Amino acid sequence: MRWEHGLLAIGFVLLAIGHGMGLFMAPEEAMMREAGRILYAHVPTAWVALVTLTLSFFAAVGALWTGRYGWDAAVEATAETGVVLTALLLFQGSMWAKPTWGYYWDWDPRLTTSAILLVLFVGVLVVRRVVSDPERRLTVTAIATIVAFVDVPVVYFGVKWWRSLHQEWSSPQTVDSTMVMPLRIAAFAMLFISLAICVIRWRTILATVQAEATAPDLPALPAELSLAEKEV
Amino acid sequence: MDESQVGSGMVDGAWGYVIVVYAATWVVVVGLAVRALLASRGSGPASRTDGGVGGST
Amino acid sequence: MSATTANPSAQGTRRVFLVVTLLVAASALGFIAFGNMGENLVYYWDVGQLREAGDKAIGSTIRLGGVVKEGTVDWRPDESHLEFIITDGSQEVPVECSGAPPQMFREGIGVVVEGTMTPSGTFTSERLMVKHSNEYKAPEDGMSADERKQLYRTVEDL
Repeated sequence: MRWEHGLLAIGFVLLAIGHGMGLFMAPEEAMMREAGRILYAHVPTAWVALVTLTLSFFAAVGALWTGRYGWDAAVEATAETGVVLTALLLFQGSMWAKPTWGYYWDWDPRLTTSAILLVLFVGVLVVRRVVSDPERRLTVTAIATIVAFVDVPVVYFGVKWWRSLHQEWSSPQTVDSTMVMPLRIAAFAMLFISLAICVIRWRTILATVQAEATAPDLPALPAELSLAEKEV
Repeated sequence: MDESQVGSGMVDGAWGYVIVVYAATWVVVVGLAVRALLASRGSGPASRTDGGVGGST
Repeated sequence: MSATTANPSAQGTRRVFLVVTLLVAASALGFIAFGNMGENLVYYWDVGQLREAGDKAIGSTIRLGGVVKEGTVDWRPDESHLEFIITDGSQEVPVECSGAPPQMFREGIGVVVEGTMTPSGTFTSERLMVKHSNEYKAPEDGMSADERKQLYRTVEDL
């Protein structure tokens, strides 16, 4: 048991509480009725996806500044978790859009920039798989991550900058007081779960990266060898 | 005028979408957690491509 | 031995990469945020902009956003035909839609319609999207959905 396992467990308990309150105790939304309950799943996922990808950015800065593989592993751990959360938020959003807006998808600025965000960070992960030399991989991944991160503030602030179909930010002022608590609990739950998963992944990835980087003078070879072994 | 189609302004019968969203959310977060935990058990100086399942222990 | 840091002799190069990348990223963000992209890539026009464009707006596919004017909705379910007036508070455009609108559609709500302006001055659309605000409200105390619908109809008839 490590501390992140405890954080993960707390996160799941909170998620069950937050979602349980959102589904069964909070009132339905006045006009969206039951569809309004998607709020407690979609909004926390979106917030935490952006937080996780912001952590990728800081890890990338740390990796380039220090050259430490600890930051390099953190970039991969947060980027892969953030990618999955971004894919999840796009799915949740489209399941909410159909009953409320009338369509699963529309190319409005918020939706379009979110889809671009997913593509950009999938690109980061692909680049990372392609470059096998640990040292070059650290540099290339970090640069790609900083470039991809540009879209995070665009997704977040886009609803303020441009007209969109997507609503603006929700806040306790725009959300009924009975709906704030489940939303807040679910948001912390998703944050804890995401952070815990990132830390667990970070330890695994770091061990692998360090093992690769330790091989003297033959940095590219181990990865290719093990790949070949797997395919045989 | 068909009130169920236009004029009420309220969404009826959306539980299906709600269930799909919550199910997907739980599948994804539990899946991420299980994958991370399984891979962390097999880690150490093990191969990068072992995927964590049945890695060297 | 386990390597915790990439080759230290390349550290200067990595820091140069960092500074250059940050500068490029910051200027890209600045361009997106403060450049005039918003003017060139408008997701929807408001009624005023459509009126301003005049005949130039006729024929091409555009999105028009505004509020459904109270008391102007005419829905003919047997023909699957919907007419209403879209307004920005001062100016108005009549809209004709084919197909049933989303359930959220009602008088006074924000909508985005995708379609074309016709020479007769009517906007024809086959895609009507309801724009929900960022306000999430609980129903009024102790009222069921049916009672609220009833209340809404009562208010509408006034």
